[in-house]
Amino acid sequence: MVDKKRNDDIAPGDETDDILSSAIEEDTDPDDLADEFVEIEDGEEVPEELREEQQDPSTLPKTGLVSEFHDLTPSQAAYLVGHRETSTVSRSPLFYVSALLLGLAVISALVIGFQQAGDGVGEAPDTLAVVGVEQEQADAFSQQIGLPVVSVEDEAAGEAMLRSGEAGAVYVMDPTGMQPASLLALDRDPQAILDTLNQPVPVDYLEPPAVAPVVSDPVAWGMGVVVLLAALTLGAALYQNLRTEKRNRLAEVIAATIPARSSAWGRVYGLTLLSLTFTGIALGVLLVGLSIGQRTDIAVSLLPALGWFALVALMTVFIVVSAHLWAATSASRRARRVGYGAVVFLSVAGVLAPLVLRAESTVMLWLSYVPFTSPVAMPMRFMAGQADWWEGVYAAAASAVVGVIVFWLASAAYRRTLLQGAGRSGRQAGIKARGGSRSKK
Amino acid sequence: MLEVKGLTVSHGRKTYLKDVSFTADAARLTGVVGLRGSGKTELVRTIMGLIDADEGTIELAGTQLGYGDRQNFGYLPSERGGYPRMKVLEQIVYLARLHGMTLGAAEKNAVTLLSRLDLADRAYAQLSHLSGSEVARVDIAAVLAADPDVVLLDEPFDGLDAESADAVFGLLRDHAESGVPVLFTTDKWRLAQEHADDLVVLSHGRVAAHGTFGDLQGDEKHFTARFADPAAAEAARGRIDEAAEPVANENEVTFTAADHDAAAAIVRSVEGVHAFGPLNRDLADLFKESV
Repeated sequence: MVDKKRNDDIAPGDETDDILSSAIEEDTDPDDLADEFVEIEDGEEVPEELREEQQDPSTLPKTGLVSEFHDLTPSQAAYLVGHRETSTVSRSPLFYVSALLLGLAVISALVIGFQQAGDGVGEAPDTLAVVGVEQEQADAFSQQIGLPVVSVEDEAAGEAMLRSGEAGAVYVMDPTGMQPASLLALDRDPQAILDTLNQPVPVDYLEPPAVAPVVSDPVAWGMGVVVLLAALTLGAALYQNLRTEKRNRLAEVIAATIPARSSAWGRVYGLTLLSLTFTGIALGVLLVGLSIGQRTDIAVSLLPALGWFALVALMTVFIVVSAHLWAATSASRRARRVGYGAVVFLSVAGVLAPLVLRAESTVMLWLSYVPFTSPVAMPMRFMAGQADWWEGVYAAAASAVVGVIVFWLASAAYRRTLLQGAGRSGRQAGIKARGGSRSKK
Repeated sequence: MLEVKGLTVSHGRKTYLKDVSFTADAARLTGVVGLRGSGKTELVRTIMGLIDADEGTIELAGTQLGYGDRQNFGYLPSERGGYPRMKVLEQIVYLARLHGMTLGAAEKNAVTLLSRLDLADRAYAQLSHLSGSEVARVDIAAVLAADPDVVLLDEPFDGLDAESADAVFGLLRDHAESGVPVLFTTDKWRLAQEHADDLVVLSHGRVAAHGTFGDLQGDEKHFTARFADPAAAEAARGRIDEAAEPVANENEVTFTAADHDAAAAIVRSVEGVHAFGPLNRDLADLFKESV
């Protein structure tokens, strides 16, 4: 600190230099001269409220280190771990590549979807069932419109043919003859039949879909891609980070400073929330793409299914990431490979099952409740107009409950095996959940 | 003051530590030296509570350590590396904050330590882009950034060049002088001898010797007398009093004496001495004697 001095007796404007010079010239004792000055602190020239606190240099530690602590609660510790995990993963090339692939996949699905819609792919069979006419009449009608026509006894028989896929529509005539005839279809427009009829015929649906299948099918595949990409990319990142920590014994440093459960929770919840990035990218590209393609009506009709997908997918990613935590804690490489493989198999099978079995409504009902299959199966049922809102809640709750159980088991395994296999004497280590606050310096 | 009392650690038939007792005083550097496999790592891990001791206690300032009492211990494991994809500064700050340090303090300390370890220009580099010596210094900085109450370093000088090791010792010395015990393990005898205030010599899991280097040297001074050939040396050894513990080795005889005059008297009592002088034994020599 530099001490500044001033002469209180000298009024402003006095020739201070001359006065001082004359004093020195007169051989004044410098000590006496110094006595005439008043020492002031730096801060006296600064208003009280603007002064900075300056620590006495003599009290500063030789290390030059600051020692400021706060009580680190388990949730704060979990946040620190989660933040580190997500910031590292979100900056990795794998994450960028995955996100890019996801965006491209959604755009591709949109293009293919529009193309299929234009080509009439996914339409109903072109066989027409006619109620209450002789087969001869039906044959004549068939020759007239150029499509297969079959005769059925009643409307119920026609509905059975619709459900079995034998017919694309049932031609229903009003028994009174007062109303125009109508077409009954299963869940989509029998476009080929409609095109051959001379006049517009209203279409009723046995199972009216919320979203046209030509749109819902690629969207369902897209949902599967999102879930797989998010869960497996983030799960693999967690697995790798845990192995790195064990190899470098950072696991020991962390175990010595924060509770193991906080460490486990921070990783899982951080990466689970990060999966929303994938979901957000996919849904954003999809909705913007539909809007650009002037299919806003489809975008709006998709919203309920997409909303439930986002929620259930989040829960599923939580399960998968927790399962990766469990797989990474196994001491032997063989056990880790088996565990990792099992998690990947379950994830892939869970996504593919509803896409493959979508025609079986009873199977789809169950798949929409079961974790791993529910993030794809439940939105598919919503798009088909077969699910009530509470079923979405049920699917999300079921996944959440399973997720909590898997996390609890994985967290216990993580705590138990945190220090095993970390080198010499990697024996059963005394890892205990630590409670209370740390002692501050 | 960190006090280790009667520590015994075993697993199956293997005993890693047997009745290990010593004290690491505050404001002093305590070096635990020993060959590879002597139990140094197990000792540090046991002090950190990462291994359960079969017997014995560990006390800090007279209080036995329990779970949760080591949250502001600075611990450096023997393996290096950290998080390869993380930036140096971020890594140090992160590990310091796990101790409960505030963000501002952690950042300030990280910058201070990186500067002192000549790593200021590497603060924003990924750890995977650093050399082995730089990574080792970053690890040291990460340990000290939380201004720990006790510092435990397992082989901190592995991968460090001489200049870096001096810088690290300077940091450790300053940290010790702030009033904390600093304990490090090493198999580099010369480093430990030159820099540690107190030494604990571990051999096969037991404390072979403990004290300052002066304590380990003992009161008796060692001297050596050189002869023309081994035969003359052997003949001279037979003429020196057994109390002086004479040992012939090639053409030299080493013996103990209270001081230089007493040594000169012994030399005068034998014939054929070509040269004579005090024997400067280093820590490695003392270790060989103690085991």
